[in-house]
Amino acid sequence: MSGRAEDWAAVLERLQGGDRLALAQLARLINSFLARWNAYDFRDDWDDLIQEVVLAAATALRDGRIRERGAVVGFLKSTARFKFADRLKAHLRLAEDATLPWQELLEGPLEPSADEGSTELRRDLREALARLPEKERRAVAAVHVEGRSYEDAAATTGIPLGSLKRHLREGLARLRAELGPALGERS
Amino acid sequence: MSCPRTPETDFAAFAADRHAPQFAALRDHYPRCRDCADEVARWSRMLGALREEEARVSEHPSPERLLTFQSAPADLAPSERAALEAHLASCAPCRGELRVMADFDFAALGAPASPRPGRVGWLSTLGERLFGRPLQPALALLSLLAVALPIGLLAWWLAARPEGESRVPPVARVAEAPAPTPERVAPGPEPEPRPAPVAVANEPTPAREFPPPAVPEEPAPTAPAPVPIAPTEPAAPLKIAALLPAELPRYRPDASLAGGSLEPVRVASLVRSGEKPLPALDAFAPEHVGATAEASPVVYWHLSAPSEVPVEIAVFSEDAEGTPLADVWLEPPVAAGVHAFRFAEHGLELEPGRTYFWFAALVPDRANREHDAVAGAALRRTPLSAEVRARLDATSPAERAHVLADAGYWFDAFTTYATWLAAEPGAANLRAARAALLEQVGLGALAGS
Repeated sequence: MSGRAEDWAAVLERLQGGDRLALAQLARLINSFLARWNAYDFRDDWDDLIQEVVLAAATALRDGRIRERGAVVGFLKSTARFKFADRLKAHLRLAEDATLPWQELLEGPLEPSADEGSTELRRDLREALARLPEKERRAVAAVHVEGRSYEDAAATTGIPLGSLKRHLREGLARLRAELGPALGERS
Repeated sequence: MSCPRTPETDFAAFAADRHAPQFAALRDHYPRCRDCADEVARWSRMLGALREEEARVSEHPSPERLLTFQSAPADLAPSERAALEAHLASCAPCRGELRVMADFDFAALGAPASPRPGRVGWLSTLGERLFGRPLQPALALLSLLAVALPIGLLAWWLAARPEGESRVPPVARVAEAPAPTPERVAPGPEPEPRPAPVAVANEPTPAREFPPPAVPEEPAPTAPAPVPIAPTEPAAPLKIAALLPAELPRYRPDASLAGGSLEPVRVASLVRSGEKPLPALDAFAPEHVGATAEASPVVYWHLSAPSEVPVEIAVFSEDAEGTPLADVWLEPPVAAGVHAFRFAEHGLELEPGRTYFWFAALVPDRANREHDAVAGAALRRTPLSAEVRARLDATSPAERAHVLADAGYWFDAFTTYATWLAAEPGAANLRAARAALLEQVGLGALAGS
């Protein structure tokens, strides 16, 4: 039932049998890694990267290079991280053996819910949101909570588009300032 | 902070529109710079928390739905297809997953690519998702029954009965269903919380026998009235609409109420393509396991047009091994509109902490159930916490549904609005509140129903 751990080795085996649903599940998993790593600046690379990671993992499992079935998800994550870093370096025209500070940020828990700090952050965020001036709160909620486009958010909130962008920027800056410690900022 | 650019950079503007041309230099710089990389990471974490605040992550269509959308869109109800299209229009990661599924080179694995998701695979996966284990026993039983293409949960359900209808005599309609078998009944109102309720779930599961419907003195109506939302509620107007809060209710899914996961489980009009068109069938429920505090809740389902085929309603426990706890038939014609299924009328009490599944099925051929169209969802009974009780005690009755929705009890909030709406059918604000709850679980296309 819900909440059980997925057997990713079994998913890879289904993929080797030609199961497209297995591919969809793997693509979703790797997408979640990339989203956690905030790889949105390199969005154009995601499709190719997903295919490369899936192929690498399926081949490794088939060839017996992943000995523990439970290690498949770790293999997928590590491979995605290395391949993402390689592409990042290529974008930045850096040598392959260069080390980017950003790479160190790719480490972290697989599940956001496993991060004990996330609960505290969400609580602080709600409180900070509630303290925002009304128009800033409405702009932030419409765009970043509800996921609306600027135009849609302007229509929904009744705030003119230009003003909405200003309220959004000011609201985000205020949130960021208030949430400094919760976001790991050293005082 | 050593990077001189960090304090001067407008990260708020960058976060609001990070792909804007003016941020090209920053996009090139921050991965190389520890200070700026840290700051971008903090912004990303904050924006991620904002997204999670709306549980938007859980709103991504499941891989199964994406695959069906790509390879067999006719298997999706029009409303579901439209919802997926709307999601894809604004979700780059999901569009990317579709591209990966279309472009992936299976030959590189030496594997034969399945040309499209078979119905067996789709429903088997559904069964795995619902019950958390493969459905091999179902397939074995189905082979005994020699059904042509039995599949997954639906097939398991169907396999639990013989072909035809000999063991499950039809009843006229939900509201007129015969009394439940006594051994499943835990009569009387139930105090909340109840430490050891008479559970319907853990009993042995013999073939459930419903008594035949009582022979009425007059012919039983064969066409259930649409929108039987609250036929048993008091007829006197509640006058609640005038007291309703101005703002719309806001449903906040809570994984802890849903057994720990907000994984999608809802099914809508699951039907094969190329067959005689059937009306669209939808379950009014969250996509994930929905919460209820009620021992015997009410659930609602929707039929887009009158049905000329019977409708079967069935309820399962997560560990009932395919035997329904309730199995009710509506004989055609079945009217279009919203219909209610009241657990209390069938002697069903939910055990706290256990997940239950309910399905409505249009059954064009009782001897061959692979042609059914099925809609269903899952619910879990979780008693109200002391905090939620305190909130309810502190608010006016007109705010009750708002509090329930905010606390994550979608079914109870929806039923409350439906009950009030039955008493004041002309109340636009009640209708808007109910519509808001539907929209918030991806059923906006049915908000006007």
